[in-house]
Amino acid sequence: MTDDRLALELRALADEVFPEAPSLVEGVLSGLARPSERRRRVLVALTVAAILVGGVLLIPAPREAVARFFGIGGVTIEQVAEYELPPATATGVAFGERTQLDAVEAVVGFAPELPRLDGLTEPDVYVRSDVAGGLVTLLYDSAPGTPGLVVTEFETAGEVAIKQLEPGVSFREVVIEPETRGFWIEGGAHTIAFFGADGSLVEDSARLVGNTLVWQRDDLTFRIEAALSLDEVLDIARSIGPG
Amino acid sequence: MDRPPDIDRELAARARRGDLAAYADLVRRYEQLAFRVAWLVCRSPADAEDAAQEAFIKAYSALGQLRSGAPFRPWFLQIVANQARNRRRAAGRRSHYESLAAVAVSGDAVPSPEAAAVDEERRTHLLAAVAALPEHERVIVECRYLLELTEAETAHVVGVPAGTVKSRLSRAMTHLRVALGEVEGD
Repeated sequence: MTDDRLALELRALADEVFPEAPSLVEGVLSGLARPSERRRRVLVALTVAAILVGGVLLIPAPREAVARFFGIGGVTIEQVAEYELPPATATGVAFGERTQLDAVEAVVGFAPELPRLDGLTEPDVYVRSDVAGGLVTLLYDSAPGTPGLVVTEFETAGEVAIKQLEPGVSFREVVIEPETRGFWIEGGAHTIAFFGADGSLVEDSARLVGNTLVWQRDDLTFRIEAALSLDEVLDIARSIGPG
Repeated sequence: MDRPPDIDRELAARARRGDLAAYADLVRRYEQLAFRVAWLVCRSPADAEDAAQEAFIKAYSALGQLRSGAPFRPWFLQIVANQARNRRRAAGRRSHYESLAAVAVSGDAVPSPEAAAVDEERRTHLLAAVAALPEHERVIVECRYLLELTEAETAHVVGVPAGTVKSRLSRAMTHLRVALGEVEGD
């Protein structure tokens, strides 16, 4: 039997396999008539930005030198005039506890989504349970002992702020998926700040392997660090889905 | 399959200008496909309905991001797939082929005339063979043949490059033919 014949038989199964599709028109039009969720999110973003600025002002200089804010969805970039790398950077990053992929969900309460490009090896998996809501880090090696690709995922109780700190660090907006945009940050370290599920403020620095792409999709925030080009990182980002 | 992209473009352009009747027409054109794509991902009719509905609402808000003249369908299917993945994640993972097998075995669904032409026993074997495929191959077969998506659309829905769709489909068809006893396995 040819593949064409087999394909024909498979097509014939469709109406048996799928449940009957409901009519969606009424629900969609009702949904469009409701108050805009976007307006609500903008208000939340402004509130969180204000709280973050307040938090920053409690910390001694140079962090108080807040210059400008740029926002996409739930991610806000905060440019500051001066920069001091957090101490953790000097000795490496605390990824948390090493664990197995299938054990992550029990710890952090969500299943991490994985890059699904061919050629990627199995990642080393770490979780930080001290961060409310949990933070998952996936390390893909490009050379022995050297992380070539770092994927971080976490749930937040609200918006995410990135402090673009180092002089010479640049960022720009990129389209990841049709309705999803993110920030591509090149040229140096930055700190990411967000509210954990219990409302506590968490700060973490990206400082490992190079450039960074950050974006949000609903409740999950994704961050990719890699010594790769933007196009290569976008391919990885677009391949990320449930494992 | 009837895929007149010009109609989609015109409806999307009118909807972008605030014509809700045009958008309702787009919803009618794609509600079944959206539901089925969402169901492939979340394997729950209720979640699939919610995901498809949310995708239509999100797509309406994002119509301004659709490049002028760009096809609506692959862009929209990616939104559906994302919404469905979110639903699936929220609901926890399921052994998702159980529901397909249950439908196939229950006989609740009414076979189409086309389906009736396929021998019952053969159909049962075929369903079992599809069910036995690794998930990453099965979803490609479902997208390409059960939903008749293009390679590019399948790549968007599954979230892998088009070349991966092609290679996985080839392997899946070989596995199906082995399972059906048409060729010898490795």
